[in-house]
Amino acid sequence: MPPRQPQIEIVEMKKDSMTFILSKTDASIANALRRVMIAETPTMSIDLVEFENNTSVLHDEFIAHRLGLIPLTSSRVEKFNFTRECSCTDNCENCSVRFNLHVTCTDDTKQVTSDDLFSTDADVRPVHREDDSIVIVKLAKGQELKLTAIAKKGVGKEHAKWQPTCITTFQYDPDIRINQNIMDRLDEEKKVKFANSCPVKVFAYDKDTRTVSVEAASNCVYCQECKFYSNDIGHPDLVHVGYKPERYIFTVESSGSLEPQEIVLSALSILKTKLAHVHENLKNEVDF
Amino acid sequence: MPETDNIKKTRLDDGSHNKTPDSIPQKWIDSVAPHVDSFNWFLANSVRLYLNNSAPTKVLDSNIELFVESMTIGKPVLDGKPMYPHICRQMGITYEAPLLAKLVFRQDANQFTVERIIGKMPIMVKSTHCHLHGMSPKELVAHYEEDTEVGGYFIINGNEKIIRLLNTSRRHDIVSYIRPSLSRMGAQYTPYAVSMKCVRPDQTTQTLHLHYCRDGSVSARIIIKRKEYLIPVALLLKALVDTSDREIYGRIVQGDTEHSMLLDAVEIMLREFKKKALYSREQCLSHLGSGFRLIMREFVDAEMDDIEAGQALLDNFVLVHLSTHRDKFNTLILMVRKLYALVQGRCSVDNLDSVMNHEVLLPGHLWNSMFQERVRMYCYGLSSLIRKFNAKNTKSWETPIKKACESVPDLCQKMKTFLSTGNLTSESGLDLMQASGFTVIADKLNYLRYMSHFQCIHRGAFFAEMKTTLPRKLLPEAWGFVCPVHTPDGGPCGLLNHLAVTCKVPIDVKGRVDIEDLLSTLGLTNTVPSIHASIRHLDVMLDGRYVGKVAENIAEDLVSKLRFYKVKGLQGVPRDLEIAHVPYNSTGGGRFPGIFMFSGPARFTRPVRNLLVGEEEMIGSFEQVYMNIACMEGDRRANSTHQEILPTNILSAVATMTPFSDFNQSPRNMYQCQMGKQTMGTPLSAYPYRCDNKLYRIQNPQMPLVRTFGQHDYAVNNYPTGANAIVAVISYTGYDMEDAMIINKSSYERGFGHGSVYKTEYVDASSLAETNELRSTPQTKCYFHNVGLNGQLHEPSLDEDGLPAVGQLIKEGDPLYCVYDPIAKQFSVKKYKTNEECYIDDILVIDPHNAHDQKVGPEHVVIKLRYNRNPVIGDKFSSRHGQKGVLSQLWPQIDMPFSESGMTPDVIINPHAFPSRMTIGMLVESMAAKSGALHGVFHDATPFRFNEKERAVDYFGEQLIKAGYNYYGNEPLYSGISGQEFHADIYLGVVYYQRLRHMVKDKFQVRSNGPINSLTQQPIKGRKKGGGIRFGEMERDSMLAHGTAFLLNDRLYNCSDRSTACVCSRCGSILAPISVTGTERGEGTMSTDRVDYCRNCQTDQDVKVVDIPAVFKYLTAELAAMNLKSTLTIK
Repeated sequence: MPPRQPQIEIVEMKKDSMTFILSKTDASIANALRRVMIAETPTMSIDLVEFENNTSVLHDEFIAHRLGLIPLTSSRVEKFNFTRECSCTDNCENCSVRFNLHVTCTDDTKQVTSDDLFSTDADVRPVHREDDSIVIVKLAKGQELKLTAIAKKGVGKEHAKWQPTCITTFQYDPDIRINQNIMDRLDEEKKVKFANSCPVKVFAYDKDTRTVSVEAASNCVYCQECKFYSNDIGHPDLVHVGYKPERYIFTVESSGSLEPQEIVLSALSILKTKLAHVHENLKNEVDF
Repeated sequence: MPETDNIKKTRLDDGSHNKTPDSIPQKWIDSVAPHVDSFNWFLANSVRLYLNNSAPTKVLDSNIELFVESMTIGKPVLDGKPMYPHICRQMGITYEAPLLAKLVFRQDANQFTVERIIGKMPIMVKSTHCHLHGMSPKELVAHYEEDTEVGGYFIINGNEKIIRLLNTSRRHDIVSYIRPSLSRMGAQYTPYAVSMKCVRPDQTTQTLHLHYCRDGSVSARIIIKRKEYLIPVALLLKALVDTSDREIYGRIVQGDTEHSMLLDAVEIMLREFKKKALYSREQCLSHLGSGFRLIMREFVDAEMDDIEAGQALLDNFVLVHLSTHRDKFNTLILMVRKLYALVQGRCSVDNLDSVMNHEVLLPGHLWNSMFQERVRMYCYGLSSLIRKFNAKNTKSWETPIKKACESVPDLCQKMKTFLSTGNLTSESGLDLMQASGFTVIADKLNYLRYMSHFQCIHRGAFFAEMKTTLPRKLLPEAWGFVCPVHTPDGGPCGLLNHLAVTCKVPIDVKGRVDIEDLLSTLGLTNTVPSIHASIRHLDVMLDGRYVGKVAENIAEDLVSKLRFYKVKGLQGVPRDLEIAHVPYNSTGGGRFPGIFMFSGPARFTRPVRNLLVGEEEMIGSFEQVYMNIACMEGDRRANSTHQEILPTNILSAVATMTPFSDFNQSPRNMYQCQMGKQTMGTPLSAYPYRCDNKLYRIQNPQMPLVRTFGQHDYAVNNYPTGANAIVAVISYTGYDMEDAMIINKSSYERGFGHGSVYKTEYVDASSLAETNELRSTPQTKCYFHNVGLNGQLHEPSLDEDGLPAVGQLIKEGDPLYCVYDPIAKQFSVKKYKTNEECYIDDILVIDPHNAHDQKVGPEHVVIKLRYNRNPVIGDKFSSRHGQKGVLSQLWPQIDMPFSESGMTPDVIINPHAFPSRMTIGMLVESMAAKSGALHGVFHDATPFRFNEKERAVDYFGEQLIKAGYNYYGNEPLYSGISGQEFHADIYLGVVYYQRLRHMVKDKFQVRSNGPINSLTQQPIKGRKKGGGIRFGEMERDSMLAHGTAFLLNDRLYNCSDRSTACVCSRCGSILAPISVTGTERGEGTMSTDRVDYCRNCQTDQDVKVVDIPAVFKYLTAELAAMNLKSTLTIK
């Protein structure tokens, strides 16, 4: 038997999210991938803020915290060093990006948004989607906010602001089977009720053939509603809700700093590097 | 409840938040009404009441007399400009207005007038004399106030102070009581008594008690200047009107001829009185007058004869609410009748702890009583000063008066002391049962706490010390008036209550209600009853005045007609008239029968729906007991005349905030009322303009997804206190045991529970001066400054003005400010001593106008410090259901369980938190908020909306199904560590979580080494001083029980006062050995080596060094001082 090779099958691909099926592997690998995507994929985020003037209603730490949580485009994150590994003493352009923000409100009120953050590096900018920029603080007439912010490379393990993902999850691929022998014996009303018992429309009732079939198994949230219904009508074996071993449906939703496929690829390469390190170390140990 | 199909936005989400409202919510105005309205009553009436009621004050030993011609209370001013409340808060001064008076001095025919400010009167914020009165929310914001500022408090030295509402006994009602201690008053006294609290038009009170004596007679007890006097009631009756024994007998007996005991008692009372040989009314009056004229000197002139003095006693101390003697006589007779009925067991004793027999002591009424007394005392003070100055200067009579006017102290000083300390200093005691604890600081910890201060009503400090728990009981009479949920547990439980949301306290003193003609047409008779009456009659009282009687068979008809007029406001019947019809009880129990009506102020009243008229009616706490009020629609019975407007009207404002409180076990709702008030929330919006000692703020507050109508009505969502957290109920990692909770580290990093604390320091530059010289001229005063003569900064980390920069981080030991002393010509720097680092939030210069030369620096500043208080392990959190927990671990997001939709919980709590506490409301909230979040609606969580037929679980379950979730809110979760699905589905939902103010940073106490007590060498106590935690007797016992000897030794000895000492093994003393050199010992050797030498044995041969606790040495020294020798045996 040839060695089992994990496979990825992309189900859906959008600008900010993707769904794929990881198969022929087990939960540990799937989970390792999930964990690395969340916690160890590096991105850029604002980490140091120097305030020159802040007469807004929010205090310095609060604004600094808000700035940190603004996702920055990090597709070129590899070109930066981690500051702690960089050869410079404090921070330099190899490990950080400087942002300037200076807003004074002359009208009644003014919103300071992520668009007001001016980057010194074209590759690292606040994420901008359509006309939806992130509000940092609202200024009243005469108030001013002037600061410089320094973004650094980091990982989600250290602080949530470096997480590239919003949602990263997997679920077992549902395996739903209807016992058609029992189903055939049910009257039409029960069949319809059975099909409707599912809140996410896994089953479909075909009027013409008068059959119930599994239409969209992947919708299943294991809510057990169909099981409850079949128990209620006295046929506990009417439906089997299980999961297919070795198949994991992944959903990755990006915060915008990286594209979903970048997150997955980056995570895979980090996993690979980690394994390489283990391999390297082990080899050294054995050599001794 | 609406159908599941149309999930729509309810009234709960009208988008009214985060906008300046056009008007202040009515509920807020209502909640402070007892405070503001009663103070407005004071402002409108106090001067008139004083002037109507005052007599000129005579200066002793002269013929000068003085009186107040007029008084005006102004509006607060500062340096000729209007003083607004925010100025007082920031400068730490009192919000007060000048009290301008015209004093007239008269000597024979000459008189002259002095017009001057005789005091500075603290003004309640938002009262009619406050500058904020009548301002719109926009104007309020322009004056640096909250947009919904409702006032109700005073500002004393920058602190917001509230006069607490107090429960007092109901006025103008005859209450009976049995108290064994009464029989100790004298040999003939019994425990039976009745009393009536009578109120003068100026709201000062005088209580009259009647005591039953062993021989059957009755004696009256009155209190004059805190001293008690007893008078036979027959004497009072005969002094009041010209009457005969027969009339008194007939009126008391009223046809009750079958009660021989009553007949005997009345007979004895009258017979006994005959012995005094006082036959006519004049004789009685002069007897009273001669006895009391010295005691009530203020009311009796030297020129008055004894009869007039007797009149003065009756006018000023007996049933003072009544004006005519005939009324007093009739009412006194009724009191005597009730007393006899009590003694005979024909009526039951009244419960003085019941809200039925209570009224509210309103701040404005209390303030007025104090004011009346203060003005009187001011005149006395002035007259004695005039007398003092007059002795030296006899030529002109005006000079000493002017001098006296200058030196007489501020009239309102004592009233300000009252507000700042809560202690009442009064000559008469104002008929109150306590002398302290009247005021509290209006703590702005969060909005709920602040609001609850105004609705809080205390039973009185007297009851707090009582051992019996009777006054603390929740009685059914309190229904609708006092909240059954909102009372603290522990010490003040049941004594510190809160008014229910619809409970209103009438303020206006209406004077006499003229409905007697109406009553006559309805069947009231006023004939003198014969001794042998045939039909039973009910006595009718109106505001403590006997108005007549009505035949029992038509009483009910009279009451229902009267009630109709009341609801409709017809025939001059006031809409808040309380009509209590107490029927005859054939079994002999129950309250003394009659129709008792009350129209006076300070009563507990509340609206209910009158089913017969179909309109709202204000009912009082007395009449409620004798009415049939249905609660819900289904509770109506044949005899129900009224119905509750809303079932939630029994709750206080804070209690209405608990979502689904009808699903919870009741103590949990009580805990929630306490915890809601301890939440670190958003107390106000005007942070930059406040200088409170301590203010809390949370940084990412949210409005709850699940809310009650209470939250909407009180608009508390403008002042949110927490965040909607994804909560999983699961036992995971073990860090959620015993009410601990786990927070997702990433949630924390994204801002969950972030907050800060603001503290304010008022600094006077002169406080750093090293010399105590008098600094009267501006040139000699210390000021904040930091530039030396060489132009260099004296303290580099501070700005030129000697103050730190706004936004600067200050750590322990950093300079906080720098002051220049122009006399000593030197700088002094004050360092920051707290061990928690902080940021400078703001600095305000609060020098009075023109107080300092513009060239030098400021003298008084306020430094506002900001402490970062993001959650740390050990901080306390709670849901809104009395479920508090401690943060035990910030758990990485990747290790948290996750659902198929990718949610990781923000908070994990243990399922064991539910079975014993039965907070089903929290589980329902979790489902409701989850479905609300999925459908984008705010759900209504007002209690009593669901029932057994329309279940909350079904309603929200259906919605969850619609959103594609499990009906019961369960979800399969995967372990974040292994990636495997849990065997059980987990209850996952959204719950509003609040952060409580108890934080580890304020509480941790730890030490390895530190300060010790110099006498015992043991660690000192106290967290502030870096002391240790006492390892006490009980802790020692448990160590003994565990047999952990080494630990015990370590705690009590090694880590405490272990020390070495020298013991002489020959004589066994540890006091005798001392450390000396050979020279000192006189041995002639020049050795400087120290040797331990026993002074008893004159040798150093046998001195041994041992380890002992240092206190042991101290003990032996103490024993030696008492001539007790202690000997140690050294082996």
